[in-house]
Amino acid sequence: MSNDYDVAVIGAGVAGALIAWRLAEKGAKVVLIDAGEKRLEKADRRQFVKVLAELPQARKTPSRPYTEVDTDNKKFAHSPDTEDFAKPEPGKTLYFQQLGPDVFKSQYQRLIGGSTWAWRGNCPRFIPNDFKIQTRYGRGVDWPINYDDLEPWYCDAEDALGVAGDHGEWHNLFGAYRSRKFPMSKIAQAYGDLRLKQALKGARFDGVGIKLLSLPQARNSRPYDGRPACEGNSDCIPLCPIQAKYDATVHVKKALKAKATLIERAVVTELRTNSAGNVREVMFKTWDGQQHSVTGKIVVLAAHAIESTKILLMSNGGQGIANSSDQVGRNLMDHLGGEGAALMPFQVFPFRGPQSTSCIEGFRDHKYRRQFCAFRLTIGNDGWGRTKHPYDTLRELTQSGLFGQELQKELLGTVSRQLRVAYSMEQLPDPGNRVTLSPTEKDDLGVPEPQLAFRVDDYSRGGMEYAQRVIKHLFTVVGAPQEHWEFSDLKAGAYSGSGHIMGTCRMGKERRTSVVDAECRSHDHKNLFVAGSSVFPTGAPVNPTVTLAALALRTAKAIERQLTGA
Amino acid sequence: MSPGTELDQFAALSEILTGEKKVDKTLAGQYLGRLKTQYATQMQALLNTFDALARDKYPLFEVKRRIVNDKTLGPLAQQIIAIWYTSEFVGADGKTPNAGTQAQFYRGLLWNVIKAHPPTHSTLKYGYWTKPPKK
Repeated sequence: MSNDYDVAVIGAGVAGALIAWRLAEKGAKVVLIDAGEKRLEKADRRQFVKVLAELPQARKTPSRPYTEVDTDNKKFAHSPDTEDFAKPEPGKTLYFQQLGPDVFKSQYQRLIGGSTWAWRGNCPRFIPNDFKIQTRYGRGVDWPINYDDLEPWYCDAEDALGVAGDHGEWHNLFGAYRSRKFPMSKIAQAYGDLRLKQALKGARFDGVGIKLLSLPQARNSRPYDGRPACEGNSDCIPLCPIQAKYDATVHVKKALKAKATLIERAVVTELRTNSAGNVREVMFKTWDGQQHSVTGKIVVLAAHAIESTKILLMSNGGQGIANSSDQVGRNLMDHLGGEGAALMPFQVFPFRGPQSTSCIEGFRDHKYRRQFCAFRLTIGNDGWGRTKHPYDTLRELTQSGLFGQELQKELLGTVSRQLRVAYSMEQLPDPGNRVTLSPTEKDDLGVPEPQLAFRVDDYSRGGMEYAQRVIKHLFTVVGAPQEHWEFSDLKAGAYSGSGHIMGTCRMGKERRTSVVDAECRSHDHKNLFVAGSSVFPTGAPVNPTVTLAALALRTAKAIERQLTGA
Repeated sequence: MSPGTELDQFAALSEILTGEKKVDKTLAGQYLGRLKTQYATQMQALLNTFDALARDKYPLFEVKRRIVNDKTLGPLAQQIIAIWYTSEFVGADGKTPNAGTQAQFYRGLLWNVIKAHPPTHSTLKYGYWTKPPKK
């Protein structure tokens, strides 16, 4: 079989899978290459569910169902996990080499389907001002495109992923008009959210209404695209057991049906350019250590922000490509977060239904955006989330001497009132926040591991402080007793990652200051495209998937035009 | 103590500690076996103590006084509650968690007590979560 393709797509996550699907359906000869394994069958999902169920609670982190399964993927396509944020134990080498001064705390899955295996499915769009925070607020940079440019693609992405939402609530939110309704009605909001909504009626903070909205989610509120309606398994992260939540294996399968070729367990080690400056050859190593290559008239790099950077920096024998701007790897961003937890004065009955069904959007574009970042709040339907698991509550109660029916009564009385409100912050692009190749550490295939420099600035920290004030006000309004409030400790610098890894190959009009153009095409190599959240110039405070999916579909159209010479 | 008696005693003690009217005997056998891999001697001492007070007029009071509040036996009683509620318990080193099988995880009492279900194991249909659980 020939190794020459029209399009070679590297990375079978949501961006790569959508592009492969769209172009294969148009008749292009497409190859999709991924470092991880092909786990597309129902039996694979059942196996992940079993692995997850049999892990101790403390080890049920997002990557573990996929890395603890009986496989070599931890060795050959390491997925970073919570351990990469901790201080290494003596003698232990972690995948991320953290250079500081702060710790980068997000992770991703190197597996066919990518990180959508372990996402919550939240799909809020950017708002118009998110594309121009430099012009509006003198912060960050503007995108080379605006909301109008992306709006039709948002509609297509919502149809492709299957986003359930309430058109009435989201149409024109901060000017983000919707030219098409969601393909499904909203995911029903949790009982506790409805109680909270009622208790917050008319509440305001600093002139902004604290209003609960339903959360648009790529989760089926009815059977859609051959997948079932959500059954409320309360386990969106790390894993939906019935695939009611979208994951990119959906479009990997569609791409295969459209005759795309899939190469699994294939870690791309470099791209090679020809004398004309085009990328011709994609070099990769399979898990057996063998070197292979394919060629593509068009090459799409969609391996996520950190792995895509590595590939570009390793290319052309380590000289690097697509980097005349010196921006490859820079402006690494995440949505830094934390949460406030309280005991509600009423029962909310968590752990029934999706992990989150409601949000508060009023602070997406607040009046202080010049001083500190915009943010979103989401209401957890999982008790005290990261703050305290019910197992910890149980342990505290038994250690206090409770047992028998008294224990049952107290456990129900406590956990059924546990509610958390999470905040998620916009982080500005900072050229010093950077992915480079470790000069010393290599994985089992001899591929350099990523080295991360990361600093959390006062713009983000200021937003976190303000968000905590909002949440404290919310708890006060509903009458949650203050002696049962728990907050991430900002004085200790506490923040969490969101798994929203953005930046590193940013798009822009100027080739001096960006890696790709407005169609996500490399400024330096006209047949190289980058897809995924790595192209985001700024990250807004919202979950990136529906935006990167919209961009990917838009990029697929640009590639189609380029292939056909249109 | 004969093996049958040991299991009966463990099940009876488990019912008092967990607050369940009747625990599953098969599961009790599995949990007793798992706990004994870490706490063999302590388990024997615990069951001997329970055997001595099981026919007491006020067994609940005595279980609290002589087992739950006992410095030596209390921590093991907590692990018995933990395994029934969560399917996992902490090993004899005081830190290593010992997780159960998938089937055991799905039978963790905690989820019933808080009127939910084990994660990944809903038996209900779309939208059930908008209403409070049945009493």
